Amino acid sequence: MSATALFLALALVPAGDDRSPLGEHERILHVLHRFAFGPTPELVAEVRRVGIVPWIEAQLRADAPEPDALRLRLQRLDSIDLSNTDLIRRYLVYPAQAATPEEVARAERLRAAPRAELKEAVLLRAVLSSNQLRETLCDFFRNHFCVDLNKDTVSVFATTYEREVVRGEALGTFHRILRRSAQHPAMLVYLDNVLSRRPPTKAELDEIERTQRRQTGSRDRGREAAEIAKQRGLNENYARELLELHTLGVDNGYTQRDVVEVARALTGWTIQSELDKNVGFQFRPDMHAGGDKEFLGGTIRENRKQPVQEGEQILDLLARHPGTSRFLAWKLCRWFVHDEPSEEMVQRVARGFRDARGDLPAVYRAIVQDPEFFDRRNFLAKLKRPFELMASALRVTNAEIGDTGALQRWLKNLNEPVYECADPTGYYDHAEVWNDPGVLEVRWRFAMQLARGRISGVVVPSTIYEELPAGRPEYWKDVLARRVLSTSLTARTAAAIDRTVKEHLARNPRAGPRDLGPQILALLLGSPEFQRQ
Amino acid sequence: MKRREFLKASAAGLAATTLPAWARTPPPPGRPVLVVVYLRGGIDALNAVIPVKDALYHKLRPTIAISQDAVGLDERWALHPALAGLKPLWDAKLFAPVVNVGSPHPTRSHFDAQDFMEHAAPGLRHVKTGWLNRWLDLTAREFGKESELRALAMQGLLPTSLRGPYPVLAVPDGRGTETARVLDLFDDLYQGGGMEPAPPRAAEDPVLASGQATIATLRRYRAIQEQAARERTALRYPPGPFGGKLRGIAQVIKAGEGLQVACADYQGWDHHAGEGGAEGQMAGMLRHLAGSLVTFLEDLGPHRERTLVLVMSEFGRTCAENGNAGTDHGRGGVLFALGGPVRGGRVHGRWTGLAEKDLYEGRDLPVTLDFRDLLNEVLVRHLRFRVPRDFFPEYRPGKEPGLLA
Repeated sequence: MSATALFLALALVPAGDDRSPLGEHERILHVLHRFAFGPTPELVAEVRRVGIVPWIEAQLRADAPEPDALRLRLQRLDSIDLSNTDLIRRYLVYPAQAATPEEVARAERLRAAPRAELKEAVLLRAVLSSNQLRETLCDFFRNHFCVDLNKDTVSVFATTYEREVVRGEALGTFHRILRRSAQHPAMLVYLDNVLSRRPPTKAELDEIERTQRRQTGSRDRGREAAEIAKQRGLNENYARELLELHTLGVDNGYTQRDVVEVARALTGWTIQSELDKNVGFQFRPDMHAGGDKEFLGGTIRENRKQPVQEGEQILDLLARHPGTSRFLAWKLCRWFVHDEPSEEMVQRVARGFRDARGDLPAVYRAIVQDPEFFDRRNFLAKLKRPFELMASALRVTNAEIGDTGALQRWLKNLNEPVYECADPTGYYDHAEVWNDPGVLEVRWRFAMQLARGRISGVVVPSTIYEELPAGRPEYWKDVLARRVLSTSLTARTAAAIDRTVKEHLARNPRAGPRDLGPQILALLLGSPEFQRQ
Repeated sequence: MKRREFLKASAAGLAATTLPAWARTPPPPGRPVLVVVYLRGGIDALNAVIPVKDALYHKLRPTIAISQDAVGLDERWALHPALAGLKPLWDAKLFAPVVNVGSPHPTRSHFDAQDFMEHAAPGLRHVKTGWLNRWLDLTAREFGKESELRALAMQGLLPTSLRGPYPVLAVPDGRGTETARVLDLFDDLYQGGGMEPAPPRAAEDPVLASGQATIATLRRYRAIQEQAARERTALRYPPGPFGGKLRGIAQVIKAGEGLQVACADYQGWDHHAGEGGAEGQMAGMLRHLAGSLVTFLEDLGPHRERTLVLVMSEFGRTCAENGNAGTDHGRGGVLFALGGPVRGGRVHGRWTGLAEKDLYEGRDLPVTLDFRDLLNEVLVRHLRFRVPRDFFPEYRPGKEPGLLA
């Protein structure tokens, strides 16, 4: 039996009524659709060789050496390993008033550099990293603890956020990633906690009024200044999203009162921004609201010696809260298993979360080892998000990526630019959001331009057409499908591609693999099969 | 002011050469059109439509209150100066704000509040279809044959209100020539080229169904656009994130191809910090909003008589400003209605004042008008729809708010 015939036997069928267990090949594909940015023939062979469980265990260690193609590229990105202080010094440059146009342009280029390099690093790693499982988890947490490059100084702080919070803790414990996100300048700026402070006391207001009156000699100005100062105070933005999006989930047993109390406990969590010291988290006692905090039916006692610990106590409480284990289990299952994961599975994974005290690798194991993970209901049941579509397309085509600028513009056009989700929800992962009529046109256009070599900075090597048997164009789609889908085509897609090929050959009987190959490749990358995972 | 009176309005923000004359003429033939603009993030109602007579307003907002330059509407209300462009529309009775409007569900989560409002089912998480999609679906038999493009969103992804079983086009960005080529390439793969195997039904394969709808509706949309490009108008929409969307919608309405519903989002109204007063972050956005809406109504010409524009948002914001010259998530908000069908030139809704005892939880405007009462009136009066009993789940229409003429 030829290789082509073998793959034709593994038809990609929508789940439907089929309840049969997944075969070995399907199980490998399923793991690679969930914990990698899609299967490639090479990776499928590797997992088959080592076995699914050992492969997952090795991936959880995330210590596989990275390919030169990735290492050398990352080395050239100057900003991604810098500290906050150095990032600000080198890149947050504003030209002087009397600057020449060249100086202005140079400053603009510098300010844009860290965000461009960060986006590039994220995409390159997703496509090229040997530690694919870690990359998919970074993708999850980048969205779970979302920050947006377009808000103020997040544009520079996101670089260390990606390194220290997302990459640094995606395989750590939930408690640690929660705490590091809470104290990272990117999050403090993004959700305004850096601005939140206790309201001024009566004595302070009197002092402000006196000072202003003395300075201006006007009683009214004095009163006005005090009135303005009185308004300064809490900002609820981070406290609300901490409960709603990061830990308990919306409506999960907390009230507006809890939001305010969390905001009070977190006053003073701000940034040390002087450049002669290390720029990073700083607790400012003078901004902190005193008094006990009533939270989730208990009391956080005022801690006069170490007021920063009030906020830490709240984060501890939230990380251990059963509501958090349930919310995180549900969200991880939705992301890695099915848009509507079964209640039983979510409960089991939540229990695993609690038993392991939020140790994240243990939670990921609980998902993969769950009796439902390999259920046929979950196989190819998720729609690829645009980022997943792009990463998988670049992987299966062995694309050589020189510069990701054009690819980032495509992601924007596909509505999922890296680190630019305006809502703190992060990008949604369920199919409903990404399957509107009209959306596929952009995916098709991307597929067509990638296959035709029309995306600047990206080359699909012609070697992938070398496997196409000369003179047998009826097999070309099958050979390419094996590379792109790691399985065979549905009868429907096969018939449609056959018709397109036939039409093309009628016009140009001498068309060879390099003429027709890109056309077939575009159709495969834009096919319904390739949109699923 | 008389309805048909010829008005010379010099709206702020418009070039002197394009003074719109808001003459009221009978509409050209065509179905009623509903345009829904959603201001994402919760617009600060109190700084958009200002209760100038309420002394507490200034007290609650020492740094961001609008003191001078507010554009008076009547003895109680004024517009933010950046909304001055809407005043001539008010005078021509083509514009009405609604105050204290919102949801009976008190959530202060953006994402819940938006979903509940766009599903028109506050607090009911099992409801998954948008209210506009429900209407499109229930009237598919009546209108579906007339047009392939009954509804669209002028953005890459649909707003929740348009999501559901009825296929609605989310118009992607891109050049027309490439689109034509790509639709041709994928036509056979998704539509089966009229050959076996037959295309499966939507329920069986959502990706195929979406692809089929993409090809049919996008072809139609591109044809309209090409036509519009040949009949270029001299009108200039303000450059910015929102104006271009309204331009696209106006093209389709004017083409008379049976468009009934269009949506456009405007992001970024969540001003927790540095909101600003007469000038500043929000002022810039209001100016762009008003300039775009005025140009849109002007562009529509007589079609504005059959077009209703609703500008809505998920909630209002705290009455007092917060510590950072911004405002936090609140409750009751504001809605704008524009176009010929509106009973314009008056402020709708029941205002309750700013005294602490009258505020929701002592901090937010209370909701005295359920947004579903307005949507219901729009469906009944404007779209002439016999609203079935369970269209708005667990809701019975209250007294008609009287927003529409």
